[in-house]
Amino acid sequence: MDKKKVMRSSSSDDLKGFEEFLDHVDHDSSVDKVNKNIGGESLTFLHHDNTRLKKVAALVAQKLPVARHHEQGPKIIEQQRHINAQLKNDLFRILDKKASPLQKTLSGLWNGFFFDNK
Amino acid sequence: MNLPIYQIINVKSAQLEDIAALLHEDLNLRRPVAYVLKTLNLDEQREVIGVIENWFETHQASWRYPYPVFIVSDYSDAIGHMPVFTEVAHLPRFYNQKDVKVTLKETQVLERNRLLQQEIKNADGHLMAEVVRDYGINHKKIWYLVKEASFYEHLLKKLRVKEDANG
Repeated sequence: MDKKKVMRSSSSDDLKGFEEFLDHVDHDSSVDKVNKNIGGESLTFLHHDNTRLKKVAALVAQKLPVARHHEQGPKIIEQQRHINAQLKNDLFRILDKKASPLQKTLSGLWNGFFFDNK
Repeated sequence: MNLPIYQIINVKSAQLEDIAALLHEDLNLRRPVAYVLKTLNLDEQREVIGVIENWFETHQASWRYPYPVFIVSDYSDAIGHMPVFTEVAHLPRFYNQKDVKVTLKETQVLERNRLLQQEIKNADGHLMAEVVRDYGINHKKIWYLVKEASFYEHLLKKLRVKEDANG
């Protein structure tokens, strides 16, 4: 602790004679830069960027080549179309029955329009 | 080694040679880039956006990976595919970090990131973009078909309940 105090207080004295040399040194940053980085924000940012890069690398190097060579999209679409066609068939079969709600409503409308007028 | 924060490039001329001098293969290898075209007039800005997009197309380079390339222009609605912002302040905040001197620990992470950046760069960006697009289109179709199926199932369920109730 004492040594540090001595060094800080005497730093201006130590630099005597080096002023001309120090004029050429870029004063803008190093001390400020270190001070701003005390919170470790940059390290967190770099870790986040590392995670992002890992994910992109995995996507580009592993997932996309697999997706490209073993594409399942068209097969799934075909399968789903088949399922939908079956569901539609079931739906029409039920709606086609005489006692179905659709037939009842339609006949109600039809009869109401023609027979009530008479 | 520097942090991967924005490299802001102010484009002051719409001449092809001047723009070409600002574009190179490793442009977005280590950090995201933003081309600021605000000093040019509107026609020049539109022209420069086209030139930059074409450059990426013809050089088989990707403006998406490893780091994105953005354009800051008064043309807020993107003309092509590249993301266009009206102000530098509107750029994604993730890369808006203070430019600080990196510590030893950070240098180690940066070293690891360099390998990943190179790995991503070596991939065929255009082919990958195509695969992602096709994958997305197929999934959208599947989504619509499943939605349709769900509607039919809902109707069937209701009709069957009514049928059972009527005997």
